[in-house]
Amino acid sequence: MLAGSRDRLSDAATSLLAELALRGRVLVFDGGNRLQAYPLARALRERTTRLDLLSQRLLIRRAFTAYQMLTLLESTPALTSPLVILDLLATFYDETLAVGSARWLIQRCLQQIDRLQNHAPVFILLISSPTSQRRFLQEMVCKKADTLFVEPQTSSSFVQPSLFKG
Amino acid sequence: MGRTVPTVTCQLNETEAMLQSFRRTLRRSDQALLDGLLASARRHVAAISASGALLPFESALLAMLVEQARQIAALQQEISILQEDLVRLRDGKS
Amino acid sequence: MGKVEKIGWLMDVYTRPSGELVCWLISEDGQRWLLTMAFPVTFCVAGNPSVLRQAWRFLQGRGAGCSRQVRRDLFEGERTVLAVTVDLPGRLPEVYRRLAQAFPGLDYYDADLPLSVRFVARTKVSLVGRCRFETDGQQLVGLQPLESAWEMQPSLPPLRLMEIDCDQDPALHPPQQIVIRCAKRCYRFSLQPLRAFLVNLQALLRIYDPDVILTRYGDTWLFPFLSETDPLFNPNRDEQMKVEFRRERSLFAYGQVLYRGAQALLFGRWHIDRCNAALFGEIGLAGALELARVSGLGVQEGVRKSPGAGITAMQMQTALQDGVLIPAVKQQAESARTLSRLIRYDRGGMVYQPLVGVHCHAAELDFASMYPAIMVRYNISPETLNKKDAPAGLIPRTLQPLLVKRLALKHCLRTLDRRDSRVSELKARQTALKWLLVVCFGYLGYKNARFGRVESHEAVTAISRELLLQAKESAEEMGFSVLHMYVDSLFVQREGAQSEQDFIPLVEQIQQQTGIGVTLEGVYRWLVFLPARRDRRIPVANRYFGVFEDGTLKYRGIAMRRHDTCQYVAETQLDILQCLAQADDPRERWREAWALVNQRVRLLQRRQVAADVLQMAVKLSRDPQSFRRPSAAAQAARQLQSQGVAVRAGMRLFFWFSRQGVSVTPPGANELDWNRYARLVMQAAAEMLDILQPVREVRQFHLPLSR
Repeated sequence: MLAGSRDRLSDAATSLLAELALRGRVLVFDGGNRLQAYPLARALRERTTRLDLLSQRLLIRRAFTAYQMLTLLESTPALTSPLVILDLLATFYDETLAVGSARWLIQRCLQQIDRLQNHAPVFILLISSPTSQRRFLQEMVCKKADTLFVEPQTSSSFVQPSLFKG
Repeated sequence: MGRTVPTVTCQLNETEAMLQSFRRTLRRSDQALLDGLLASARRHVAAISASGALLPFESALLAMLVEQARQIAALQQEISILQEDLVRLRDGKS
Repeated sequence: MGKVEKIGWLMDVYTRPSGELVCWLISEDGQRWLLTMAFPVTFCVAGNPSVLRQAWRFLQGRGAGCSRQVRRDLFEGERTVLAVTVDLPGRLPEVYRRLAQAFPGLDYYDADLPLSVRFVARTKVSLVGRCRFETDGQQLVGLQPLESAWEMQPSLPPLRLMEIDCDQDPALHPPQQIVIRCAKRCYRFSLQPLRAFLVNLQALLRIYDPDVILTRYGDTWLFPFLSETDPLFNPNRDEQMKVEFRRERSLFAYGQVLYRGAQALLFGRWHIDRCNAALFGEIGLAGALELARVSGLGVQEGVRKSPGAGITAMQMQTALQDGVLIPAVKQQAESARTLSRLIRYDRGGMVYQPLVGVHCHAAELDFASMYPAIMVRYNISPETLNKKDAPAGLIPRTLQPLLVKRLALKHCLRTLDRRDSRVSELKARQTALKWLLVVCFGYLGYKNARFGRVESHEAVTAISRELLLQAKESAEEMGFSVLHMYVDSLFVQREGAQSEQDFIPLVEQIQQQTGIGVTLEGVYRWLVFLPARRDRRIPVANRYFGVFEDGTLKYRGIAMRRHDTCQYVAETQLDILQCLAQADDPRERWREAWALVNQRVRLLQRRQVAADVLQMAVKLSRDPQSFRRPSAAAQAARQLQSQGVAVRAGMRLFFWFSRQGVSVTPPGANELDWNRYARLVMQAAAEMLDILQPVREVRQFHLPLSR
């Protein structure tokens, strides 16, 4: 699992998908419309001349609501190739989805991810929650990870350099 | 809603941004020519989009070539007309 | 009272706090009726059988009857469901909410439908529709339709209208006076003393007993204010009901932040706030009635919500009539696609860049309601995708009568003289239907649309691109040059072709080839396609201005079409266009146009322009606190906040450019930033005129701006 900022995650996702596609089929669930199709095509082209072949290895399904994300997971039989989930929680941050429903849905999603990872690796990329009210969702997902990479938070506040020592 | 793939216009904007270092290193007179080339590709965004290419810049290069071919054809026609005028002038004088 | 039979119109349906259904009708003799009616409603639940049994047990003793049924899900086919019936329709939301909370893992259907949609689907009586009804004075015991929602000339109920206006925008200044107009009379009241005003208002409501109350700021100020001031004040005709207040909110939809003001809904009569009803300005009451008639959504709801709610209501009606279950949440996800297929198909309509410059005798051809027509002709519906020879799907069956009616109204309008008294009503109705058709395509791909499916959405755009290409090929085969194409329209030109007759064969050919109706919008005497501002070599789609042969002007994508342009700048562009339109070639009038512009700039320099035409408008794209740079919008928002005005994302703010930056109140002549406005005028003029500049002309016509 990889958690971090939007830009870093987009780049990480592109590189990860390109590397996995070199090795075989990859299933991609895009939860936040994060797939960068053209940069991905360029990343594939940097790695191989057989762009057409590799682009056929990437099988993409998009979810525009949290319910659809659950449907994607439930409707996937046992995996034979890696699964990459881009921005799993994006649709869960939708304000029109009640917090209680979001909690229940993510629990179901995590159960499905447990099932799928028995047969092939599952990579999850997360962008940090925009509101503290829904941060618990990210915590629930991160708890389930076997390996967790978290992008370090950089301080955005400007530090006035001091003229004086001490 | 459902759109994931950006428009060709967006892609061309991104390509121009990526080419900034290349452009900057060119002589000013050549920079204007590069700008003209990139602008010429934009006349054919519909065709670039319709090609469905994984790397739209390749189709954009073809579009630039089409524009150049068009300009060459127009110049050739002008030259023919001027040549005919020249011949007529010469015949008139002699 | 014994049973009586009446002929009249069904105006609205709603529920009382007890849960019982009430129908508001107007009979031909002018009587207004508020009648209860027995109307049990059902929702369905599906899922794991053992969980369903638990749900059944949960519902025992909670005022709901349960039964087992087999019903059709559009995507899953036949499903065994638990049908939950509630006798009092007003109680259904509570029963559903409790069940969904206790059993979130089940699938819910028909659970959150607007009551009026259910009612119309079951009784076949459309809202504002003519009907025969039987009553004992309290209850409605019989109801039959006498008219369909698709009548070209529906009968109209005799509505009594009251207009209530206040003298100030309450967001900026507390109103002092209220003007009430009713039955050709006008009453002006001071708000103070408040008690006297309330007595007068109540008296007028009693005397005139209006069916429709049209206000300005009734939602956001008047009714909330009156309710706070006097909790006993009740503007409803149904005295058992209180005014229903709904909170304001900002929401992100259609790629932008939208703001919905607070709402005040009445019962037994309608309240429409002109300042809070998005479409009402364009469609008026005639259009609002048409919207209610075809969608089944009440008038008050219909004018306040986006047209998407109307098209959704229509789809629900079709589903209810077919016995198809309507899911509470959409769960279907798209099928897997390779990267190359995604890039190939995830595209919108075709945009063929224009040939920049002036074109004479060019024609504009438009496909009539292209996307809905494609959805009907090619049977695009979520359940028919990739199926050959499938029966007509839910979406095409919903759209077909709408399409037919709208085209018929348009055709009728074209045959009438502009001065005919029927024109404005027909136009309003036609516009209301147009908006439903405009959004129906978007809803096909909308994430929350019950019957949406992104693959269907993509199929429509793919077909539209193909049809436009076919149109281009037809045009080129007939010797036309294609100047520009934009999604559902194309601009063509051919040497020697000048009148409409010259283009009719092309229209017919395209129609025949594509199977979609095409109209000749008109032949331009001249037309100018504009380039990008940053580089004149780059063409820009849908940005042009021109004049038709009959003198009508048309313009797209320039400053005067934008909502954030002030009136003075917009008028400048209009003046330019009217000046250019006097010539057969706009380039001939370039000098005169610039002379006009300079006159308008001089008026600014002399400060001879009224502040109200210099008012700017901007939509707040986010909450004021989240602006990092002090843009005009941020400054205006902060000023309003400092004056105690609540400001939210999505709201439209009005301001003036002043020497200090921005002012939300009209500044004095010495405070206005006249130079800024002069620059705006020059920019707007250059937008139109630079392209027309004679090649060797030196620009001599810009006056120096004042320091």
